[in-house]
Amino acid sequence: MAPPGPGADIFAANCSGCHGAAGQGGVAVPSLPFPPPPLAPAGFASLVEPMVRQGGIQMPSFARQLTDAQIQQVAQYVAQQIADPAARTANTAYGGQIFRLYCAGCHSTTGRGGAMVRGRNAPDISQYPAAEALAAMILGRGNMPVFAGHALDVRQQTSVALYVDVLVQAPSPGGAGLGYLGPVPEGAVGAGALLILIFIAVWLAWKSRKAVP
Amino acid sequence: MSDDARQTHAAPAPSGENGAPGGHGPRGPGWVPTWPATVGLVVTLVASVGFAVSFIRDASTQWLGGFLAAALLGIGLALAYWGRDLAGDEVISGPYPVPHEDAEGRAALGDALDQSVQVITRRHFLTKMLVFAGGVFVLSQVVLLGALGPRPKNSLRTTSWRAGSRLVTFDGVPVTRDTLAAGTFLVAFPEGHLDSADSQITLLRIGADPHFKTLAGRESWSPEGYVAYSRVCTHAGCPVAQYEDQAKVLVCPCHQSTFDLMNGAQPVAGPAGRPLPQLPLAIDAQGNLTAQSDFTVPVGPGFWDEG
Repeated sequence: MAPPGPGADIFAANCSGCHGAAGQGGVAVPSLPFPPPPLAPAGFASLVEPMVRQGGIQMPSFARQLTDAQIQQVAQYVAQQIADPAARTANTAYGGQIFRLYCAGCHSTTGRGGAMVRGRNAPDISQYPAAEALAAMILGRGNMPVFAGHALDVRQQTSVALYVDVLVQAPSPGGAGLGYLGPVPEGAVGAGALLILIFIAVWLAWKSRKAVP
Repeated sequence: MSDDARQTHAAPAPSGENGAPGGHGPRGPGWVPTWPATVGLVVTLVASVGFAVSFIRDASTQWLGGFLAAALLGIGLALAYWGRDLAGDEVISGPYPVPHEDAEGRAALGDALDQSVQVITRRHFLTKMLVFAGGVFVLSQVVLLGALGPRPKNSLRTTSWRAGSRLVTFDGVPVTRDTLAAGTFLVAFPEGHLDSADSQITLLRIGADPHFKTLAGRESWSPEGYVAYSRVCTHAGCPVAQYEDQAKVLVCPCHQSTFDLMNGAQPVAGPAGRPLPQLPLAIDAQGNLTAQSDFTVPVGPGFWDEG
């Protein structure tokens, strides 16, 4: 582990006010609908960095206050010094397993969200940095229950976040993504294209039939 | 045979000549060889037996398909030839010859009758052969019932839950009385049966919510505010994967069946007609959650009352 360095100072100056000096999380204040979550599952700099750069639902972006190098330093510091060591043993495939068991029911397997009853919907989680998934698991969001500490331990939470990171930056095999909604719309578009091709073929054959006397 | 009184024209069909090379027996008008029909039926017989044997011996699908094709081809060939035999291939016009009222005429009539009888007997033999071969073919298809798999027996009414089964997470970690806080849930399985799809449950901690309605006869089923319902939808068998914490309902993502967790998981919206079965829970001496017994009603869609 890296010794406390510039990352620690950046953390103390910018992050500890809300997340606590040891990253233990803060308390709800009237201006914030959700309390700042603890940073125990933030075991990977790749999870912390986009959150600091872009901000989340409640957390502001720090791209103007901090340089790129500083953002990388503080992300490293959080991942190495602040997060729970168990979080660093997480892996993406395991997270995918948990995602399909607990998250896909509402947010769909591609994370693009889905309709719930009575006009409610589960949001598209790919519009936020993956670390926002950790906050949602820890704090709950509206109708979403709290998972952290009960259904999921720290390693499992981090694994889910790593998997969500893959969903957020979905690797594209090429072609039109169709909003990455999954195989059903892709199949529907394929079937529609097939139907159009059939009509074109019939039309061509019809024309040539008429042309022959 | 005297056909002087009749105008008989051989049809221009390629096999219209009376008799094939090597044919035996009388070759009256309309005679066609019966041996192709017989050969066809024999092929059907042999291929049917071959089909049944290769199915029972678990042979490859190429063998099964080959034998089935041969059996059907044999029957088709036999019927085609037989049909031609029945139809004849001559065209008769003019009045039917009336035999002369003398000894010669009677003899001619006798000959004609004998020939007809021979044709009929031949058909009789072919009929028997066809029924036999067809019967063997149909019987050979009975083995296909074996492909329906083992009988379900009681498996549709029971799950892997037993009295004392511990609740574990998808990782196999036992669920204890401290695992959940009020308002949180997890998906649990019976210990040792993580792959048992019909046994998965939604374990929810209601806590001391005053809105929770304990149904009659289920007073001891929810210790310390823990309740467990089958996760298999009673409509079409999907996992009831959506939990709405504020509304305290479980929603099935397939067709939006909604179950009220505060009232015995009764369906309140959507196509499901039955509540989710509740699993009776207990807490053992080590603080682990266990099942008091299996579900008291079958889980999943109602197979038993489907018309």
